[in-house]
Amino acid sequence: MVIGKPCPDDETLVDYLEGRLSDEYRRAIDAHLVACTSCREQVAVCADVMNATSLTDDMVQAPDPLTRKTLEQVRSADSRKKTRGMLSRTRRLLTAGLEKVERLTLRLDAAPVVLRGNGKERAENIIRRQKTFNQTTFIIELEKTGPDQAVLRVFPERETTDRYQTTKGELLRVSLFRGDRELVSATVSKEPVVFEDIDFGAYVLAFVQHGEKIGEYAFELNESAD
Amino acid sequence: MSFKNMADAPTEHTLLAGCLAGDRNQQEAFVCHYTNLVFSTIHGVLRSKAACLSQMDIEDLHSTVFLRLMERRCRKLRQYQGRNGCSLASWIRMITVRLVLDHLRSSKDALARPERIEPLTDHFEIPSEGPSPLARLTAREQQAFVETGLHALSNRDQLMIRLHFFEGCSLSQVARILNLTDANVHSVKHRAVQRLKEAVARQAAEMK
Repeated sequence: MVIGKPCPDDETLVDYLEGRLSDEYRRAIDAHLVACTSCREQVAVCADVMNATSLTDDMVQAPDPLTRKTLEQVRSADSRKKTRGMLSRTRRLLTAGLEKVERLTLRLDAAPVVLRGNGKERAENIIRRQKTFNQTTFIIELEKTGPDQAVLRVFPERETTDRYQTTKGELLRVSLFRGDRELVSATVSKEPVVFEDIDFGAYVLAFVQHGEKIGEYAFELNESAD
Repeated sequence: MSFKNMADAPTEHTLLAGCLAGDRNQQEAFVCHYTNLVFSTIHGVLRSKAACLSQMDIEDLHSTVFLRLMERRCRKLRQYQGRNGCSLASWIRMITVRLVLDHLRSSKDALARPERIEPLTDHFEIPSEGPSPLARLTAREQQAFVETGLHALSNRDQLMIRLHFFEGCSLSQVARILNLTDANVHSVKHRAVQRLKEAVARQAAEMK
């Protein structure tokens, strides 16, 4: 089974930079930074910014009109409105042309789904979707593991496990994006790809073959109404 | 009202608690309190990456940081835990760095899309001004050699080499990232380079 963990959260990266992690945890973050270029870049740039300024007197002063404009936007925004600004525009650019973002709610009383194994079983906290890209059918499974968290599993449908590998021997790759940021990526094999500790929010799962994207599944995990 | 001279600047805890409770006044005080930090960080990232953005983009990013923190009943802000003594200001700075980097990456991707793909035959006889194909192949092979040597090093040594030599980070940046003093970082760098040389030499010997 291939396990891919998402990147460390921002607070962990701050603790790493400010030297508050245990030696063991620090070594784990070192290993992640060796492999993850986006986290490494984030940490390097933050270190540069920290070296250049303190949190008080060296800061560039924001112009009053800018602060007023931001205040105005915060006042007028409410919980139902989408964020205006580059992030929402980026998300719209990313999802433009894709199938509609599917909003999923993970809750304790989820409808029963057919699980792997024999016959139907009543499942709790699990949502399952089947998507076909380039004649390969994938099962995408989301299971709630805690408050605002889920685990994501991706694997080829049993009947198509022989077709996931192309005639040239190149394997399929699946990547999980949040906004513009690739969180984690793994090679699809006969064993499930597992992404743990997925926070609730909007994601895009991208499938790549021959270095080209063959399909995407956009979804948004929401909190249970319970 | 001067945003620079707020009397009785509120504590982080007061601001955070007020925002999470939906207190509009505290949310506005939050913006006023951190407006300089966010603006300064945006400029810091642009300086670090030697990037340029229009005034409108900078203003958009400034607003986006706060909107992202406040939207959906401060959903993002609720993720801050302050464990291990991480300050709210440091956390906001890290979030701002990530947002600006994400924006720069998306802008680069947008610019990288070719407007038009021209057939190769139309430019068959234009000479290249860059390195020769042999030089490029040699450089790629050398790079592959170094990469293999790198994988034989510890994670700390790899980070030192990648950050300083591949990604152009200053030694003071690397010192902060690896939690080293300015004095130590030079010797750590020297040892990492020595180990890389030994690893590459071993690799070369094995190939003979």
